[in-house]
Amino acid sequence: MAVRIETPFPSMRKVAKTLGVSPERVKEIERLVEQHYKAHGDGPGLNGRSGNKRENARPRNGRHH
Amino acid sequence: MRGRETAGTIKHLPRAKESLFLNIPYDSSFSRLYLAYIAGVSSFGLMPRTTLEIPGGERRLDRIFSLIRSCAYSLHDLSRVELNIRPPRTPRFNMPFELGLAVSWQKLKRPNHTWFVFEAMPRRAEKSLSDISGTDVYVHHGNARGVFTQLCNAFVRLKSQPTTQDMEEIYRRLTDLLPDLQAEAGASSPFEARVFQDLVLAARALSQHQRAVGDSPGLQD
Repeated sequence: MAVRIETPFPSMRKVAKTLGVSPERVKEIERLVEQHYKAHGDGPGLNGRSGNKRENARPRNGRHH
Repeated sequence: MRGRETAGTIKHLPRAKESLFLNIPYDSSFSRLYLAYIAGVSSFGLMPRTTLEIPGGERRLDRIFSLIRSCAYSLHDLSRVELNIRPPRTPRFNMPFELGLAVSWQKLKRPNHTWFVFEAMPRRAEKSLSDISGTDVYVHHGNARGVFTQLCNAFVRLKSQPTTQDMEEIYRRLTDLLPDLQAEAGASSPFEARVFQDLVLAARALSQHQRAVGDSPGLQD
């Protein structure tokens, strides 16, 4: 069985610290993303499908082929 | 060299297992793939790092090597190694040179550093850089979807396996956000340090939101 390598999604705080970004700027980006979701919540994706709905959603962790 | 660098420089960052050195060309014709890489890499829970983060004032080569050393992975896109059209016409050596640095790092010091070669055209990398014969080259055909597909192939061993649709969604939203991020930074190009940082943070926030939605009861199969 192939070994799966865990990738702990780094927190926003860790990403910001690594990049040297201030917590204030992180909040601004989060606000911008939030506004974007409110304005474009369910727009079409590249493939013309809904961008927000989890169509064909698959488990993300521990999936083995 | 060690004594000249100050605290807080890239050299002093610990090697992060979720960091990926993204070695790509910085030109306007590559901006879609640049966003695709940020979206795709972030979807896997990895944090892209680039030389855009490197400020002036210190020897660039030292900082590039420090950045590579701080990353568990490096991804080298060799699709723009052709002659630069601006006179004098010269080949673009930076990407293959940085690939060489990463390979040296892996061969000599860090066997578990993992490097990947991406290209737009099949068999071109093997021709332009025959030393890498026998290495898997991930061919993305110069489009965002190709990048997502090849990232899936490259990172097949990672536990987190986003779908290409997940990556497309983040890519699309980053594309929408880019004009605002550039305007806020007063930047005319997405290849500027502040815009890159904002894109990585936005991709992380979008990925986090996507995972939260995906994990919600009733939205999974």
